[in-house]
Amino acid sequence: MRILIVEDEPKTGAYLKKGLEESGFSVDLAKDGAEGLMLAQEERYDVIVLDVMLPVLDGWGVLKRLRETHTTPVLFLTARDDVQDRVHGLELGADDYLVKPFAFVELLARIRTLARRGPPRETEHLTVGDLEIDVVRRRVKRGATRIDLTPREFSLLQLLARRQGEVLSRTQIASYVWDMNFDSDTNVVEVAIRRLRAKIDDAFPVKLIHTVRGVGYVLEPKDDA
Amino acid sequence: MTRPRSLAATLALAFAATTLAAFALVGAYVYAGLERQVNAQDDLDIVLAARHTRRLAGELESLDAVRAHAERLTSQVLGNEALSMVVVDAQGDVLARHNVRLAALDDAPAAASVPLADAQLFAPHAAPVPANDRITADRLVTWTTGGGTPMRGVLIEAALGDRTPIRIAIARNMRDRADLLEGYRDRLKLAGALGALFALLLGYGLIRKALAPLREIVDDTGRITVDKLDTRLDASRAPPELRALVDAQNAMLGRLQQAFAHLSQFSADLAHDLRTPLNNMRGATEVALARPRSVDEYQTLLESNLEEYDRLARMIENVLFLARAEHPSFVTRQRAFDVREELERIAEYFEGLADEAGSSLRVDGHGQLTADVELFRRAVGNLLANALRYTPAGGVITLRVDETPDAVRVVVANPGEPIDPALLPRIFDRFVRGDPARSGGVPGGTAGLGLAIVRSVMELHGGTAQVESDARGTRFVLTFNRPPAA
Repeated sequence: MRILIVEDEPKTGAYLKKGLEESGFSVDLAKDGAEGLMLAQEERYDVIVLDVMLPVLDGWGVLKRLRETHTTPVLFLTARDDVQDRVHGLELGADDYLVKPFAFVELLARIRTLARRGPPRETEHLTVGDLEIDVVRRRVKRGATRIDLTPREFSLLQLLARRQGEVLSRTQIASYVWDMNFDSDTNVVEVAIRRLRAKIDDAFPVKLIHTVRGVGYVLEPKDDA
Repeated sequence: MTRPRSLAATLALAFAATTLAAFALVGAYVYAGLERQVNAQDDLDIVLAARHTRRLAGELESLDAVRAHAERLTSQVLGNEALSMVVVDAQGDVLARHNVRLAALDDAPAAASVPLADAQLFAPHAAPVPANDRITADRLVTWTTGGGTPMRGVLIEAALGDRTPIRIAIARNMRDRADLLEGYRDRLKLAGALGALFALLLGYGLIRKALAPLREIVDDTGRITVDKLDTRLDASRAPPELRALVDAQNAMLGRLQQAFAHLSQFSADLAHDLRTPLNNMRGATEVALARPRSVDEYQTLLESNLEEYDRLARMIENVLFLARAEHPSFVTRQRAFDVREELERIAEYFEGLADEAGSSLRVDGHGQLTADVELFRRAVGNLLANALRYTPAGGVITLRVDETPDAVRVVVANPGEPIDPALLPRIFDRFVRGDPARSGGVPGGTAGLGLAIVRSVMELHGGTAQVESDARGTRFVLTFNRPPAA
């Protein structure tokens, strides 16, 4: 998948490019609005990540001109999260926005969603290694062992399983599982993960829930080396 | 809109207008009195002359006698330049005349030599006073000659000694009187104008002097700068009318001073709180770079830095939230919801955490509320996070909602050490912490903004946040006022 990043701040551009490339995307980086617009019009991209404050032509301008001919999904980045700014971007045809500073995994998740164009497919059965989740009956089995989960634990596991292989930040987890969209400065998510681990992983040699230090959690069938 | 006129000018103009009106009234009264008096005197002259002349005519035997002794009749008007007289017989032939030409001179100066039509002297409409009627002032008539000379006079009938009827006309040229009154009128107008001007200047001066304290207040106010917010205006020198203004300004200064001190303190605290994570990162990074480290050490450092970044980001987010919440244009998305359901959801979110801390959560009561749910969760979440921090192991934290006709109250109560009473009034202020020494070390501590956000949220909903703390524990009470039923 190809991604265009339009960002004038060299450090931001560099780490975005590096991070996205390491996540398996092919990335082009434009350093100002005009260059970004040219590339966006001439090449084919799956997602465009657009900074608002840009030299030559600002993000709004790029978005406006681009929307005259293209429907490429655009995620814009802004340091100002005034409601008006957001509304303005969405009115111009942006598909999503992120306010700086943001967690990189959050950006990754948004880009994947935009590239997929639509919500992830709802499947009735989820499998991660030897873990099986029956979404309809809300039953969880690891190998032959049946595991009892509370409803919230089940929601948490289901979220991790649907996004298996993807790192989820604590904020994302709090938002998806509990619908809590503020940072409570507590380690609620850590505790919840710890409890889930006790049921899912503790009794088994192969661990499925992994901590990505400082970033978040990921569910995948690989052992912590 | 036009610019408002200066107070001194407005008042001075009002003074002048009042003075002018007073002068006009008094002048008109005095003038009318004079005019009446002058007219009465003139009328009396005419009436008396007419009576005497009629009496004298009765003493003359015949028309011939009249012709021979005309001066007897005209003697009655002799001494007065303004009076004229004409005596005619029944056929209209003139028997005697006096001063007629003089009276008519201004009518036709060139006609001095031309015999005048004597009838011109008389008002054409004047009916003669019959010979037996008493001559009174109300028989006098006023008219203006063709040349514009104002005249007043009387036409009477009289009988000679032989009963021969004659007519006598006596008229007074009123030009001198008109001139006199006109001059008097002019002087009155001039006096009025001068008086008004005098009132204008005097009033302006006096008002400016009276407003001097106001200018002093303005000057004093102008000297107050940010570093002199403790200055107060001197109310004792201000007149009573301005004292309320001075008091109000002083009160405003007090509020400004307080808010400003608050804001400076806030900036200082914010800077201070930003320093700690920055310093942690800087120090740890420098130490790490001083010599080669294992990958694991680098990873630990980066992870630790990431934690500090999160702390900074959270702080900025919270500060921005507070700043925005103070702005009148902040938008809340209010809807009706079941408070108990929300409290249970929040309790569930914190349940694991409480469990780990050895405390438990209980939700009580019922209530319906219209509010911004996101903000409600944030406020209650902050209170609960705070309660968890201070509840001893084994304690039960209670979330309770009470509904009354005019308010919905949400109480977050936790057992534990009472909060220092000196701290209670400031507990909702920014960067105020229950235990300054400890909270800095709590991972992801609220940076002292959690409770400030609670208060902000309540203010956005027109409600209040209160706290009580005693030996039984600490209770935070959020009161959402219900709008009066329509």
